[in-house]
Parts: sequence; C-alpha cells; structure tokens
Amino acid sequence: MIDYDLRTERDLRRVVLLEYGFGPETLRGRKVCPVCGRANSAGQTDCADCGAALPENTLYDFYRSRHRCCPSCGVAVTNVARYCPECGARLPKAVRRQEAAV
Amino acid sequence: MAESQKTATYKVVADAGGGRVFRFYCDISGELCCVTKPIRADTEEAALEIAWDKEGKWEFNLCPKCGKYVSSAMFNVNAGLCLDCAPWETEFPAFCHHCGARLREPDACFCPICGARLQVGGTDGKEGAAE
Repeated sequence: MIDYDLRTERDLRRVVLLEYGFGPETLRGRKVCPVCGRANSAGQTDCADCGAALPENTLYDFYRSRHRCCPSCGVAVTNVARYCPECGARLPKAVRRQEAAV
Repeated sequence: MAESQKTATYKVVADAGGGRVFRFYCDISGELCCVTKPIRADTEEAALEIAWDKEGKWEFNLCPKCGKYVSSAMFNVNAGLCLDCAPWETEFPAFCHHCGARLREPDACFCPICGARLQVGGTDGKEGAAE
C-alpha cells in the first residue's frame, strides 16, 4: 500500500485524482505505446505488452503540445489567461488553434 | 454539443473461435482502454454494438462538447470536458490569471482584486472578470 502524505488539502486532492486515474500526475506517470496503445509507466523504455520501444515523451508532454503553455514554468494554461496561475508570469497573447496551424 | 460518434476509435480482431475481439482506444491519446472478450454475432456492426454496450463504454468518458470518447487521463473531471476542450487548471492558484495578483486564499473562487473567476473551465470560456 502506498503511504501518501495527506497533510494538506492540496495533497489530498492530488492523491484522489491520481487514485482515480485523472489529473496531471497521472499524465506525467504514463506513456502510451505507439504500436499497441497500451499504457505503460513513465519509467519503462519498452512496452510491457508488445515489447516495442516507448517514446521519451509522457502523456503530459503530449497534452502540453496541444495547449498554450506558460513560457516560464511550462504549465498548460487556458486561452483566456493573461498571467500564469502557477508562477504569475505575464503570458504572450493567445493564438487561436486554427491560426496557429496555418 | 457536437454530435458524438457511436463508439470510441476501435480495431477489430478475428478470434480463433469465430468471434470478434474489439480493442477500443482513447480518441485523443490513442491509449488502449478496453479489450473485449470474443463476441459472436452475425455482422460486425451487431458485434460492435454488443462490445460497446457491454464492455467498451464503461471505460470511457464522453466529452459533451466535442463528442470524443476519452480515457480518464485525458478527461478534466472538474470541467466535465476532455482535455482538448478544457486543459487542467490548478485548483489552488497562486496568482490571478486575469490581473496577475498574488492570491492569499488558495481555495478562493474569485480574485479579490479584479473579481475574475479563477477556474475558467474551458479553452474558449469567458473569463468572468468584473471589468
């Protein structure tokens, strides 16, 4: 059994999300096999199911690649944010996804 | 709401016993979320319907905005949307995303300086700021 540190509300919330397979911590700890699609833990280099080489990037990197991110701390932010809610850095103006793709 | 597909992305594999095994994948990340037992039916469509109703759909979250079926990892449970429609927002922000003010109460719903709603709940949602 994992011995979690649940002294603060933040820790408790993080653990609840992790236990139910939601949240950024889950994404950080998971890699998806590009061949069979099986979810592997981030520390693995080969897929436990088919043996294919796993990518370096975790699901969190994949998730970040699909969003606007803070240039200072790297956390994904919404398109309407002007400041990073984590580190307070001023964010560059958001570019719509369609425009960014052109 | 966007019209959702009937099922998540899937692949079908013929079983040695004459059945069909369905592999259902997350519509965003491609993660394998469900492998069904071999299913016997007259057509592939009928087998798919059984596979999805009995096993597949219980492993997915349907995004009501874009209609994608996604894994729990790719679902923002706070916003009730997939991570493409609503990226994770920190539940205990240190700064207001609208005015940049440092927040003293980590679980506040609104910024005490500008009145902005601190959880936006979507990429194209309105800020809810009191301008």
